Amino acid sequence: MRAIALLTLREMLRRRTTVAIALAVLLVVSLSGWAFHALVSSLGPGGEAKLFASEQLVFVMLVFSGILALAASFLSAAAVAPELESGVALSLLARPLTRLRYILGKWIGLAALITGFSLVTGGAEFLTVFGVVGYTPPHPALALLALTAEAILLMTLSLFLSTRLPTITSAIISMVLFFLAWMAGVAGTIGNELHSGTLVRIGEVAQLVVPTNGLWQAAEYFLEPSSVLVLGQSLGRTAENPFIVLVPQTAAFYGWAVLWLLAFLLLSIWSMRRREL
Amino acid sequence: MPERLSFMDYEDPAIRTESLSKRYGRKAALSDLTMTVPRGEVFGFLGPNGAGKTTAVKLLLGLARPTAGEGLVLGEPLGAVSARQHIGYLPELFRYQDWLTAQEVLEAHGALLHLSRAARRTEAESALSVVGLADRAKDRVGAFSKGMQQRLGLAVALIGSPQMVVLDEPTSALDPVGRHDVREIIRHLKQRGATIFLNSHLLSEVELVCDRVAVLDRGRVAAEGSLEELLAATGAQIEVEGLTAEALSDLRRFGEPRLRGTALEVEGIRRVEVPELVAALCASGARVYAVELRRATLEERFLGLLGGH
Repeated sequence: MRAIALLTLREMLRRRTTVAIALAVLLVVSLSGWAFHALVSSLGPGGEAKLFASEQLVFVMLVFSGILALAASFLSAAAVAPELESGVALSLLARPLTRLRYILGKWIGLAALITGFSLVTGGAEFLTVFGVVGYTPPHPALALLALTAEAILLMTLSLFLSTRLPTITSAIISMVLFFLAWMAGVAGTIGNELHSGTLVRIGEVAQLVVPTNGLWQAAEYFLEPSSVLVLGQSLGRTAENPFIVLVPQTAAFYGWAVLWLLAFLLLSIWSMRRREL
Repeated sequence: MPERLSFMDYEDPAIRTESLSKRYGRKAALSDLTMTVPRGEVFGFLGPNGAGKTTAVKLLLGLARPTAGEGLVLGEPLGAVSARQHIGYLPELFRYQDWLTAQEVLEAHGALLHLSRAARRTEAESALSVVGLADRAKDRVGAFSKGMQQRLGLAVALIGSPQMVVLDEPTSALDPVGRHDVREIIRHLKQRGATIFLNSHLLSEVELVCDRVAVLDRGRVAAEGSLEELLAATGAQIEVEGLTAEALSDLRRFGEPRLRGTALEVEGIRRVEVPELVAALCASGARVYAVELRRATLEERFLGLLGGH
C-alpha cells in the first residue's frame, strides 16, 4: 500500500498536468493579488477596504475551489483508469498486492497530494491578501480544511468511476456532479428567499447526494467576517445571496460527508475487486 | 543469476488445475483446463491466437476469476497473494510506467515484493544486466522501443528470484538476437530450478526450450505431453538394395511402404517396430545401408491437432 501511495504521489508530481495546475493556481493568486491591490488603491487601507476584501476573497476562493475540484477529478481519474487501460496494472496486480491495498494506496497518495496542494496554494492566497490588504479571514485553517475535504470527496468519487470508466469520462462525470451540486445549492438559497419549498428541497437533496457544495458552504462560512455574520443573523437570515453563508454546517452534515466518502471508497475497493483484467 | 533454488519439490507441482473454465458472457474463453506442471519444468502452452492461452494465465495469476473449476499455483489457491510473492510475470500486453526510468520500474516492483531498499537496487541492476538494458537504466521507459520495453518486462519478471516465471508471448517484439537472449534466460532460470510457464504461438521457440507442452485449441487442451511423446516417430526412411516385390509387400504389416530406387519409406511405423523391420529386410536378402526415423515437426503436429481450422 505504501509503495503504491508513494508511486502515485511520484507520478502526479512528475506529470506535467500537476505542474500546469500549479501554474494556473499561481496565476489566480497573482491576479487576485493585483485585484486586491486595486481595491486598496481605490478605497484606502481602512475598514471599508477590508469588508470588500473579505467578500472578494470569498469569490476568489470559489474559483480556487473550482480549480481544486477540477484537479481532484482529473488527477484521480488519471491515476487508475490509464493503468487499467494500458496494461500497466497487469504487472502491478500480479504482484503480492491485493486490490484493497492498490485502491487504498492510490487514495492515500492522491489525498496527500491534494491536501498539500490545497494548503500550499490556499495558504499563498491568504498570505497575499494579508500582505496587500492586511486582512485575514476569521478561520483560514478551517476554511482550507473544508475546501480540502470537498476536493477529497470529489477525488474519491472520481477514483470509483475510474475503476470502470475511461479517464476523461470519469473526470467529466465528477465535474458535472460537482457543478450540479453547486447549482442545486444556489437554487436552494434562492428557494429560501422566494419561500419555494420545491427549490429548497432540490437544494437539500442535492446537498446529500453530492455533499461537495455543502462543504463549500462550510468553507464560505469560515471565510465570512464576524461583522457580516452578526449583521445577517440579526436580520434573521440564513443566506443573503449564493455567495454569503451566515450559518455553520451541522454536525449531522459533516457526519454524512464522512459516511459518503467512506461509501465511495468502499465502492471503489469493491469495484476493483470485482474487476477482471 | 543466483544459486540454484532450495525450495524445489517435484512432488508438489508448480501448477495444478482441475476443469478450469472461463466464460465472457456467452463466449467460452477457456473450457475444462486440467493440467499439471511439475516444479522446475519449462512448460510450453501452445495455441493459435484466441485459443485461450492468455485467459489461462490470467486465471493462474488471479487477474481474472474462473467461471468454474479450481487450481493451485505453488501450492496456493488461484490468485493467492502469498503465491504471487514467488511469481514473475511478463504479460502479453507489456506496458510499464512511461514516466519512470527502467531502474525505477524495477525498484518499484521490488518494493511491491517487500525487498529491502538495498536489495531492490541490486536486483534491479542485475536484472537489467541480464536482459541487456544495463546501459539504459537511467532512461525513461517512455523513450524505449517496443523491443526494449519487452526486455524490461523480462527484467521485471526476474526480480525477486521467483520460483515460477510466467512468460506470455515473451518474444513478440524482439529481433532474432533478442529471441536468442530470451532462450538463454529461460535456460538459466531452469538451471536455477525455477518453473517456466511459456505461453507462445511460436512453435520453434517452444521446441527449443520446453520440456513439455500443452496445445490449446478453442479453449480446450487438444494434446499434452513431453515433446518426445508429442513428436513421436511417424515413419522410417531406409536406404536399401535388393528388395524383392514379395518382401516389399510383406512390409505392409509395419505401415505403408513406398520404394523409389534405393529409398524405402515406411509411413506410420512405430519406433519399437524399426529393429523388426530391419531384421525382416535382412532376412529377405536385401542389403540395408542406412535407417533414419522420421519425426513430425512440432508445426506438423500442431497443424494436425488444429485440423479443424
